[in-house]
Amino acid sequence: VTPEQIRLVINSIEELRPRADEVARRFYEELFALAPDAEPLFSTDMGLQRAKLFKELDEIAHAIPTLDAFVERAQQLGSEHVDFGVQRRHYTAFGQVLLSVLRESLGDEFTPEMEEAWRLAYGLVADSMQRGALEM
Amino acid sequence: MSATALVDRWPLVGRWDELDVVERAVATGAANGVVLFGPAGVGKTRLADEMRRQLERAGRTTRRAVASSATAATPFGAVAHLLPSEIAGSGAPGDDPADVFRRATDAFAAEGAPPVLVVDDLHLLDATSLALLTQLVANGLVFLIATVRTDELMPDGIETLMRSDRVLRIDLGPLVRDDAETLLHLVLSGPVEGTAMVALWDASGGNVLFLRELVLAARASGALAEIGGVWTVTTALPTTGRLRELLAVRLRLVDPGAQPVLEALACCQRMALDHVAELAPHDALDELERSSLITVVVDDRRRFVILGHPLFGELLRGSLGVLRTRQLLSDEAARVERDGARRREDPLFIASWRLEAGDAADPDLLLRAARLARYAHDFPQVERLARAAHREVPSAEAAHLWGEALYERGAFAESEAVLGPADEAAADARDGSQAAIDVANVRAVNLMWGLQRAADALAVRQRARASATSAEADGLLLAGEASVLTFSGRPADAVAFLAAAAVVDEPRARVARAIAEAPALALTGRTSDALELARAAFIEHSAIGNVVAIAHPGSHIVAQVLALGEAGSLAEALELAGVMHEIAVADGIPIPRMWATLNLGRISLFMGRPATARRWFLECAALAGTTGFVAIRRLALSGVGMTAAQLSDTEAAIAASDEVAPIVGDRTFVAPELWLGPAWTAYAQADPARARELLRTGAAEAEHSGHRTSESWLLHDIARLGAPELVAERLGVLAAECDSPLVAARAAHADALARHDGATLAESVEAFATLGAMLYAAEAAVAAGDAFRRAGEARSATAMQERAASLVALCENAQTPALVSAGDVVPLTRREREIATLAAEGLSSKDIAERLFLSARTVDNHLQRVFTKLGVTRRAELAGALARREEDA
Repeated sequence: VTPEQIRLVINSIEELRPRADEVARRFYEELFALAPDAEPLFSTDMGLQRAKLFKELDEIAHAIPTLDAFVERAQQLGSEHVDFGVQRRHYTAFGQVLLSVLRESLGDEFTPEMEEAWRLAYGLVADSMQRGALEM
Repeated sequence: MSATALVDRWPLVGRWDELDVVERAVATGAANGVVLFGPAGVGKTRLADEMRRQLERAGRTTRRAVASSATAATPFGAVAHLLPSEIAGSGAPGDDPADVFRRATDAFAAEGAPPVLVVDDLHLLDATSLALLTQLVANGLVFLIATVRTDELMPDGIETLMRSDRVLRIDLGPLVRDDAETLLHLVLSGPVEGTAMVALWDASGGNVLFLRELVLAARASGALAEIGGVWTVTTALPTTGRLRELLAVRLRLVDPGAQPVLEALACCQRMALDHVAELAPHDALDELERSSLITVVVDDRRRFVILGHPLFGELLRGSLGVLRTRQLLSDEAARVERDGARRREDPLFIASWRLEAGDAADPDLLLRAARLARYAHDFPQVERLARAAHREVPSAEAAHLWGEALYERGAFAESEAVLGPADEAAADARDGSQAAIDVANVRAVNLMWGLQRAADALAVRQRARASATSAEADGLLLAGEASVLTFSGRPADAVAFLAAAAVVDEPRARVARAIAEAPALALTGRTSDALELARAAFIEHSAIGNVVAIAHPGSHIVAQVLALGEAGSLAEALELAGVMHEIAVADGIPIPRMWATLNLGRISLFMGRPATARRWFLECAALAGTTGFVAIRRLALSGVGMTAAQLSDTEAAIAASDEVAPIVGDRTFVAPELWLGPAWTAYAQADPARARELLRTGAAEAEHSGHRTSESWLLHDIARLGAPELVAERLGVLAAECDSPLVAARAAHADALARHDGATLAESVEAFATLGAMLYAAEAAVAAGDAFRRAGEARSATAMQERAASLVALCENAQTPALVSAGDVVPLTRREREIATLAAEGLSSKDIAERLFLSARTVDNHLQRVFTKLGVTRRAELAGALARREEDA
């Protein structure tokens, strides 16, 4: 994930932040449709949900430039997620839904370059967290 | 992190779904193992290791089997260190291998929670270990994690293992592009620029090992450099299209001081850390480990060293000469002996290494290893080990194992050259030991089946029985003698011999006796007795396992199929034979497959499916050709000739029947049926009189040797070829002597044909149709229709014609004379009319051929069709039939 790609990721997050409610609502709707057993893992409070989604997105964007530090933190994060009851397939579902919601919300602004940037960024972070969970 | 991360083990990326599969399988208990298939370098070992760690975290203990081309040469070589020492070590000779297997299984069962068994490169496992592993997995005594390289030849045993639904198969492909990018980002601690990524991706194709070697080489040469936080290609990547070349380059750069370590590991594949340490200074070993050329594995508190990747071993072995290889093996054997050969697996390895190095090896150990390999049906290995044991100290047991292995690969003359002298020596010494009896048994089987010398086989059996000292041995030899009779075409003699012999009340003797007796009973017409005996024997044989010097338990299934077929229980016979064929194909075992196809051909023929039958017979003939079963090949070709003739493929029928060439007094299995192919071929060549004569000869042979069901088949075919009055009476006698509904139906059919009795023929139609013998039923229906018409019963005649038409439709275009109704008027083609007219004038086929510029064979083929269409069987009848046609028209 190159610095250019990280810039694309950060730009799209900022683009969406004013519409956070709508994006979050869509995201969780689609996620729970795809993985119904993920629903209990999340709060029912809409404000908390929105905050949580954007916290995760910020995490993805900012973890990569400081990857060495993140890889160390990923163990902690990954193991916390296991404690929450997050399973491996939830990472896949999360990634799929994330890309699809970004595509729907950003429309034409969601270029192929931006899509690749997101895919790689999410992949790198999700992979590190899952490996972190393994090491515990 | 960057420098170390590169040469350290790379992190696992992607492959999360695969890890999930194992986690779920263990959690739900849905599987006892997982096997990862994939090409070299795709990351199988890495993933298997991660799976193992996952299970260890869940509290399982791990065991490791070491599969390599070195351990593959030793039965139980890969798992010896996991087995109780009395099994793996130098135990007492004469151990029953079945018992060894049982004790090995028990050792695992005693573990409590099933341990995780990791087997890297399963395809290199010796056959004995693989057989044991398959049992352990089937019984849930281990959870298996194994890898198999798909770019290597796969041994048959793996197919058997994978057929179990308790084993999951994961086909591991290359990394997807995104995962490869993630991986490089992680190990390089920074992003890889687009063009560089494309170049690395294109060169490696997502193969992790390849990717790793490329990156290491590119970093070393400076072609890949970090510029402004991004990894960029500065000069062209040192790419080569081939992974092996990259690895070879790396091997060439190894410090010469460390070279002996790599060479020794390439030959021995796995060495104790202490021994490796004797070969190179500590820092050289350190460097080898850091650059992943070697790996230290800890197993059962012991540390041993293997090469970093099997490909290194292949490359290194390729460059080592024979003498150097021998020296390295010999040295390691000496080191292990010097240390007291304390480990349980050591003695077997020393024997195997010494053998490979061309040194003198312990004959007891070699023999022991040969016995184990034999138990796993690994005959190439048995041959190698038993030959070496025999060379050191000749013995009856070594001769038996060696001779049997030779027989199994079709080297019949060589087998006799080993077994003959051993058997003669035992006879001279009046040696009644089990080993001597085994030699006699295998020698007799080889003489009988391999060399086609039934009389000599019988003599060997009889002489061995004279020196038998125990009731069990006597029972086995008795059974062997009967088996020669049954399978040399003397079923009545076999039944009489066994009836007069004492019954030995011992499982092995009983099972062996059934192998001879059940087919003999079926062929002499006692199909129910045969079936009952074969069923019981299969159960008993399965319970005692596969035993030295007795045929495979599958023999009883063949006997059941034979009995069902002769009884006319065709659907059941077909199903059982089909299952047997499937298993034989899946297991890659040609001899049971040959027997299955022979029976499938016969049953398909009885069912009136000549095209299907022909395919089975062709498969059988090919298998019998490769396994050297000449007698069975002739039988199959007789079937080919017969079916080709019934499908009007006269040339194929002639070719097959020429090879059958039956003679009066043939002493082979079901010899009378050898006459069927040539007889039907004669019919196809428009010579029905000759066809009937050949069938008569075969029937006489059958009567003489007591093949009642075969005799009924041959006689019934005479009736079908137009002469029921000649055979009806004898068929009636056979029907009374046999318990078979099929034999009874044939007799009733011939009798009704002889009497032109429509109502009885109609009963035959139903009798055959109930059995599933559709061609016989169709022929009976045609005859019934004709009989009714002649009797003026028009309505019944029409009904029968319709019945015949629907039955014929099931018979795969069979063209037999009895399918042609007397009332049918099938128009002749112009060429047929031309030839028929000339033939009716008395011209020979040769004359007609010359006149019409055709070959004589083509003329005969045309004439045969004319005969069929006109419903005549001889040239003399042609003129009359042609004249009647003119009148009708």
